[in-house]
Amino acid sequence: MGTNRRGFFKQIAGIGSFLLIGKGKKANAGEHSSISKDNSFGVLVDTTLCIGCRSCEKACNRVNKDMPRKSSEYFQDKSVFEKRRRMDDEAYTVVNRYNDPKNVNSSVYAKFQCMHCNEPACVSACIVGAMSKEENGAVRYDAWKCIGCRYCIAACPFQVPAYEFNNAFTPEVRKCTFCFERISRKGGLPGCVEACPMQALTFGKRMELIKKAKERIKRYSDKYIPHIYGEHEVGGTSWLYISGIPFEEIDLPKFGSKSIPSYTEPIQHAIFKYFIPPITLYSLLGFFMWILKPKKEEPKINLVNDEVIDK
Amino acid sequence: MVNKAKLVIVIGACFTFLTYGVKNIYSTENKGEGKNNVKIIIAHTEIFGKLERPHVLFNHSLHTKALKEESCGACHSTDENNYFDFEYPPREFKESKKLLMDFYHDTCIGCHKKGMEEGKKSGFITCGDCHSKKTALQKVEYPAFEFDFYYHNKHVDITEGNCSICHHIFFNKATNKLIYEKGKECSCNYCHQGKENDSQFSSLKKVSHLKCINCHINSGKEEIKGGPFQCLECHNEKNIRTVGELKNVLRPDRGQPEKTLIKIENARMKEVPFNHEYHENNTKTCKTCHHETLSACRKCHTLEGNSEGGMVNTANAYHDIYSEKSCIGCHDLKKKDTLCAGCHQIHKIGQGYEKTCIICHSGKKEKNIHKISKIDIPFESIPEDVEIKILENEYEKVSFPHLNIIKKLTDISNESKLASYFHKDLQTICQGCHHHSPVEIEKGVPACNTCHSSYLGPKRVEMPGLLGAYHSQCLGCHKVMKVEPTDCTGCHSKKE
Repeated sequence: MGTNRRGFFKQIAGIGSFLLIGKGKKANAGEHSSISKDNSFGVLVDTTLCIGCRSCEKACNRVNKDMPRKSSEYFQDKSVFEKRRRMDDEAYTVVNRYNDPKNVNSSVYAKFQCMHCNEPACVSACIVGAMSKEENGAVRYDAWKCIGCRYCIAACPFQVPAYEFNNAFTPEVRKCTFCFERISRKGGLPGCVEACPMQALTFGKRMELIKKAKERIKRYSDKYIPHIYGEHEVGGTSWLYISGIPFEEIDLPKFGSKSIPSYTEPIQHAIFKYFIPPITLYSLLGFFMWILKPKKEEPKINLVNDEVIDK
Repeated sequence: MVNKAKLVIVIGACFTFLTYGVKNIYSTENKGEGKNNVKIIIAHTEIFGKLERPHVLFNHSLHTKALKEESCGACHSTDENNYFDFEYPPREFKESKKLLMDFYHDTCIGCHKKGMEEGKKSGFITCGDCHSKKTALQKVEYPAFEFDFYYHNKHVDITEGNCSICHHIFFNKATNKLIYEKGKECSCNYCHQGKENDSQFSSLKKVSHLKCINCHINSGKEEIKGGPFQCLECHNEKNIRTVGELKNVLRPDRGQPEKTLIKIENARMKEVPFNHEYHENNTKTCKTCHHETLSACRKCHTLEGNSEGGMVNTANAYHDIYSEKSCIGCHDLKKKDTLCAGCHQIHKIGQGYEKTCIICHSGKKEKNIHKISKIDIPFESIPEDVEIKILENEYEKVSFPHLNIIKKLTDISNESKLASYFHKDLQTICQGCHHHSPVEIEKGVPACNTCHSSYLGPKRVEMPGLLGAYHSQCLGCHKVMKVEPTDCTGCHSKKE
């Protein structure tokens, strides 16, 4: 008979936790939208203008003093385009070359770095709060708080953060800082934007950049794909892209407009909501222990057969 | 133990043979592959909708080779004139899904089985061999054949001017004959518009295959050199000529005027002189401008517009910028040409038409063509070379050949008839680069940094800075006009 009762409790607990998760989803969606999007900065990347000069990479290397300094000759080497590169612990930004499907003889270049999402998955995933989304749009990393769990690396939909695997004692997560100190100054520009000779990168208020991008697309409608990548992708990103070829071809994956945390957080939060599920779990366990506790008067031999005692 | 080991080896060998050997021996892959093989996709999605199995890739060349003795008649039926009907399958089988499916299965498998019984090398009979996922992935595309005026002239010569061999105005069902009338010849697709299910007219695909291939086969029999009838002989990219290649090809005479004055009754604007002959030689076909018939535009496009003219009135017929058939729409397309794109694409110069009406609506029979004389260039007020020092820290100064560029652009403008019609004077050329600003050569032009400041910042989102303006202007122009250099050191020589 005891087994029946056990089953009953199991069902109740199951249904209860299921309801909690369902409820939590509604309550928690869009928590990070509290950061005002109107005031945050952004950068508009016009891939049709980029000529692959790698000036942005060089400027990034010079501006971030803690990175190993590379020679000017390294940044003039065009042979790096033969391989598709990714950001690593020694480069916050890379430029890649792609084939232009419209014109066989020409190529398309695109710069990549942290997209500085409006609702960043890395911030949501970080268990110690080492990642934070700032008022001006930058997603910052605090090495002092970091415990090296690398959840942020796994969480990022763009696979941006890198880790100093070759640093045995004080490894850090490495990703673009949006030149936080520079843009916090009045009129300051990120290093790459300042260096770009083609002004394929435009720094400004995110809202104004979207306006500008729309204007450009309207004016040169034959040149651009009518879409601003990052306006809505994963809840919007501070860095925006416009392109003449489909975004999938320049390695910008297709995403929905829902942010990554809005998928994960409702589940995460529901499990610990008001501490009800853990308390319920432990009290249930306690309850079972109490029920199944052997009575003191019975001799030890009877313990073998539970059912007899129950009767 | 030895026996057991032997058994294992034998089983292993058998297994390897079964998995690899059989595949290699009986695999049909690479058989019948080749560049000159014509493959046709049999899918009929318009009847079947979503397909249950992968579509069939029919190797036409393999079948023509195998059935050489039987000729086309092995598959294609003939009509009373002994003409092959190349519509396949015949229309009556396209009425229902079941009918069509059975037709293909009965004909194909039936023929393959028959061949097998006769002991010949035959084709597939099992489902998956034809409906193969592997072959369904292959892309099959052949260019449509363009019967341009080069081919037309060739046919006129061969037929000695007997237009009735191809042209007709209607089909008399009672006498089963095509009726021809001199002076009413027009393009096939005025009637045969290519629609598959048109009850009145057969599709262009059907009639062109019927007429062309049958005529080519039959003329070959009469010991005259027959025309091509293999698929790839016509459907070949090599056969497609550009406008430039067709420039000196004679156009047929249908009584069109050489030069005319476009005059619309009750119109407020003055008449427009129009050189019909020049436009003929600069377009591929008459269809570029004329659509349903070869009659004048104003015949259907009335001043107010009516249903006959598709509710497009006269003004729009000539001026609609989004239509490739209208004057302005076509001229706007010309701005994308390599030589014109530099000025017209980078800054979208020449988008406003309000000032240019009078250039076409002159009311005179002869056009005024303005050739910009290079002698008129005021050399003393135009700098020859301009030094640009913006990246002085990293590179040497750039010497910009200002005067040479003006001369080159003037040449380009003078060489094009269309351009010299609209580019009135030297100022027009200047505005290609000095956009959005007044150009008075004697007084000078506002410098680039008047608007494009060298300061960059979050508040200057609207306008590119000086660095960006220089680079997007110079490089943008070099790229669209396909001019060298387009790399850094082409302009900026390295600092020693």
